Amino acid sequence: MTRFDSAIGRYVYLDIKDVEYRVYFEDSGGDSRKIPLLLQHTAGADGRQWRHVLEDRELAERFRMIAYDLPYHGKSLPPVGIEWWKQEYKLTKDFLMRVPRALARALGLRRPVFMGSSIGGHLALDLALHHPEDFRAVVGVEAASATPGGYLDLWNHPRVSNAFKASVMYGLMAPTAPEAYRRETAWGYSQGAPPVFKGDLYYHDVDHAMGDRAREIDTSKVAVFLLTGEYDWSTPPALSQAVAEQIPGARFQIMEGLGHFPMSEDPERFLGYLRPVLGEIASAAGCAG
Amino acid sequence: MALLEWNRLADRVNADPEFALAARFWDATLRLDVGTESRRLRFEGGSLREVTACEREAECDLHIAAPVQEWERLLAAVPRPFYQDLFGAQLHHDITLNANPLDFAAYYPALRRLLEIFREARSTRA
Repeated sequence: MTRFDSAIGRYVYLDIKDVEYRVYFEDSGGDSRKIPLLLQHTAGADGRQWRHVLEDRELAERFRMIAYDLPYHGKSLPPVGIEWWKQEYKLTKDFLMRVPRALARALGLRRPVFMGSSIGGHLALDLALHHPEDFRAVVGVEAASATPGGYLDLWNHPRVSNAFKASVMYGLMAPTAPEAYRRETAWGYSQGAPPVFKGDLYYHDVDHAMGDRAREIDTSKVAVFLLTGEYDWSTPPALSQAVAEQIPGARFQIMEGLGHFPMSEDPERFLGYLRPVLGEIASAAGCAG
Repeated sequence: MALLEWNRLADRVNADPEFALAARFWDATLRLDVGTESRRLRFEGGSLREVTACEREAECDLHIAAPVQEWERLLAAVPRPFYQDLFGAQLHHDITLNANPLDFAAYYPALRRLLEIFREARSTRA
């Protein structure tokens, strides 16, 4: 008997700042009875990182999970309407915040939950601060108020191949995570277009920096949950804890035995931490199962 | 006990298929400062040709220095957080890495695998 994944992929056209983007996403399915959950991948990667979460039957009973590829990532090609090859690729906070909101509008999602890792984790905080009305909750994985120092030319140098960033990303994962999944996660990095990882780190290491503004996040409007892997040396748990302490009502947990890519390096272990968080969000929405 | 069985290292490294792929075309000398002792590893055409004791300031293309206890943590069978990888370890711990940045980046996959081989060698010996 032929075996298929449950998630289905398709393309949607989004208009962001007068440019049309053809954006790829994978959808676990469901209608408005399920809570929509948007999934944002890490810098230089794509939505394949969420493939295990998308297939979790327990989560799929209550959540409609949508993992999208940012423009220039994965199957979301660069836009046809601009001469992107004449510009240095650089991801800004302004653009990044527009993508999940445009996607939610296009798909008719009412106040989805947003979950993201790394740039997605930082984005969770930015969305909670700047657009609390658009999301019922955010889950920031490997999130912090600032992570300076990593926006380096070495990530996109003519004499350095993609194997470098893939190898460094491999080292960001827990040594006890399943080998095959760590390799798969690193593989995705070796496939990314060369300028993209460094360009994404502009947001991660420069443009995101929140200063003390996390204090302004109002968790009565948007719930905030932060999860960080203990092996993550690029966003050490202490940084996530520090920003959680600035946000009254935010929840933070260190994930033992996990690193920077928990959803793809060791999905079963990550789901053990994630299910209670999403269960709490579902209960708050009156959808406890 | 010495950090590694240095005289058996070349055979182990050169038998590793992942290292062979990552280190192809690599010509370089790597000096490892382990506490007060130093070892020089010479790579040629991607193979580890010799491992010799050397002076602490011996000329080399790359050099990794750390106290003995930091090396032991780096090469533990299951490293504690931030010791699992050289890149992260030298950012957060008392481990020094010196190299031409482009050479380092080009052969980081080989360096990373080399340290894993060290880790496996210690685990096997223990």
